[in-house]
Amino acid sequence: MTASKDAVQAPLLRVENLGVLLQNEGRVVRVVDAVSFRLKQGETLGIVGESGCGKTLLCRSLLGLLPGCAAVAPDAKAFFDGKDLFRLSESSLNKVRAAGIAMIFQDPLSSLNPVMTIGRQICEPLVHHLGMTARKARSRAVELLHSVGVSGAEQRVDHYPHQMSGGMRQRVAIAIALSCGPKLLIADEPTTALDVTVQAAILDLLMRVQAGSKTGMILVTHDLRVAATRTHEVAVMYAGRIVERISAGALFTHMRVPYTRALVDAIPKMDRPPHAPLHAIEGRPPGPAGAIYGCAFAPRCDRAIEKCRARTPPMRSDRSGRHWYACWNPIQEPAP
Amino acid sequence: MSALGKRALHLFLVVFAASSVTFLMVDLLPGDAAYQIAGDTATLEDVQAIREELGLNRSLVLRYMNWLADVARGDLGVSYLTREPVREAIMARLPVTIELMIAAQLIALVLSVPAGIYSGYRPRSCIDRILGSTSFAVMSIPVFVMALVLIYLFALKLGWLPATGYVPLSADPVANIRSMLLPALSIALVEWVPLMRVLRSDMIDTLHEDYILMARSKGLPTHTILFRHALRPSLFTLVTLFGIQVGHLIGGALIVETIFALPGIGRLLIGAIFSRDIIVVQGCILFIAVAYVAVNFLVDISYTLLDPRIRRGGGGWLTAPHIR
Repeated sequence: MTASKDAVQAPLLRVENLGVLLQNEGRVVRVVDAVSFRLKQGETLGIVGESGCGKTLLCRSLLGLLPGCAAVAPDAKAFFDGKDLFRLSESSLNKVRAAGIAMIFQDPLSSLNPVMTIGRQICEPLVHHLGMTARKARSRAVELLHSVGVSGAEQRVDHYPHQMSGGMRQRVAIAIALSCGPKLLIADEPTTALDVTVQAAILDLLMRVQAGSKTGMILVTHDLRVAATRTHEVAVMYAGRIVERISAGALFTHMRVPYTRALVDAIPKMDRPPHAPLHAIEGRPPGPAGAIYGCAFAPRCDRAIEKCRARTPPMRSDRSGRHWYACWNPIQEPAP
Repeated sequence: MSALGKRALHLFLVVFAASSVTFLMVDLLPGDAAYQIAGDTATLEDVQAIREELGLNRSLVLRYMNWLADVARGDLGVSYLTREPVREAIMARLPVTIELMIAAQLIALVLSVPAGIYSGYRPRSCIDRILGSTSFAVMSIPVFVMALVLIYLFALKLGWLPATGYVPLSADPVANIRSMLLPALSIALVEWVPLMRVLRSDMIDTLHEDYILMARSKGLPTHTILFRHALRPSLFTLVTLFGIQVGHLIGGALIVETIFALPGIGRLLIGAIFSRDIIVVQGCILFIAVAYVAVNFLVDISYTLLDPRIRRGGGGWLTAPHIR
């Protein structure tokens, strides 16, 4: 492989063996474990999983925004732009934030500062990272608001968050995230708190933005259909681990991990007769408290074999090298 | 009803309640101003004559009504003892009290705001623990003990500052500030502690908000996050408490004024109570009540400055902010 080709192929973000440790009443538990993935420029990685499986902590760890009780495991690595994010000082990390990696949060009602105009909130990173003057930053803020589809941007810059609807506020949050032209966008359930009608519009906006600027994106969602249609690759998380990494197009047809199939089966379908019971997954996901022996999903899994309860399955790939799964007894044939 | 109308009614009710209760209370005290004026050697007839002259032998209700009517015309009356107009007596002492109040609260803010921010930013850290325990130790010292300790240290031992006395600002600004430092410090060292504690706990809450996470994800330095993003939403309880303290101090810091021989409102009031100079007492109470209402009004306005949601949310001036 030649050097130039290598440079083209070099992933934007390479995460290796990421673990997040949480201190809980004197005990240390691993809430994210052995997470590895790569993300190329202009691609989207979808992360799906149930609530509490570690999706949010995974995202926050990349930007050094873990809560005080949590920490990244010492052997974890995350290379972005040639630098290991977990080895950066706070001030170097501040240079990566917004300018290199920007984040969009779940709830736009609480992620904007209620006592600052949205204009000031958009201008802050412009002035701080790009050294713009206040006036220039303001006109850039108007442009940004316009580009994310906020109507009347000239007036809106002087408004406070409470004067806008949830969808508008999420557009503002996206404008803030895009302000410094980041190379990677982490969107942590950006549409969960929004009306269904607004969700598609926000996702369309994210897709458009990404296509225009070749930004890489991590899209966290618990909606499998969003993951399948809006991403290139999907990582399915269970109990802090990635259990399957599969290209988005093959998600519904070629999944090999029983947990992924259970998630797919749990989606309500239009063609079922009315009042047919939904396929919920039996049991509950394990809490972070207890130590897990073997596969964390084994107690809820209908394909569990003896081995599943004894040893944690490692990640392995199929022949193409693009489909990764961690299962001792994977589904062999394509799902019906 | 308009917000201002509500305020006016509120002011009237407070003044009416405060003044009528004080009138009754002072009247219930044994003795009256006539004894004071007549002196130790006077006969009962002399006292009776003075009472006649001052109108003290009329009924309580009648005297109160008279006083109210005078106040309505803007006349606070004249002291029984010194014949000094009450308005002038208050005005002469007001600068001392206001200056003491401002100096004390400034020192309290300078101490409490940085300490509160830091303690909220790093709760249970070493510095937070030290601040917490020393501040409570300081607060549990009564203000008069604090004043005496400060006098002992700074006036007697070190000789840096005068122990007592007051120099008007117009006479000698430097001497004025020197004379105000110890009294203001004695008050501030007690008052800053609750200010610091409420700011600390509000800061802790605010720093857990999503918008702080958002601000951090923007790569802003810590001081920007603390001062620009977290401080303003954390100020509600501090401002409320600050207003209450200012209200107290406008009525005069009696103990401190007495110890440091400062001619403020507090000493005017206590002197008038001892000599049963009910007109002066009433004048002071009226002033204090108006000042309280005014300070509360300012506190309410400051809520709306702190949080735009109150400003335009349609809640009006009187709506208390949502405090978490």
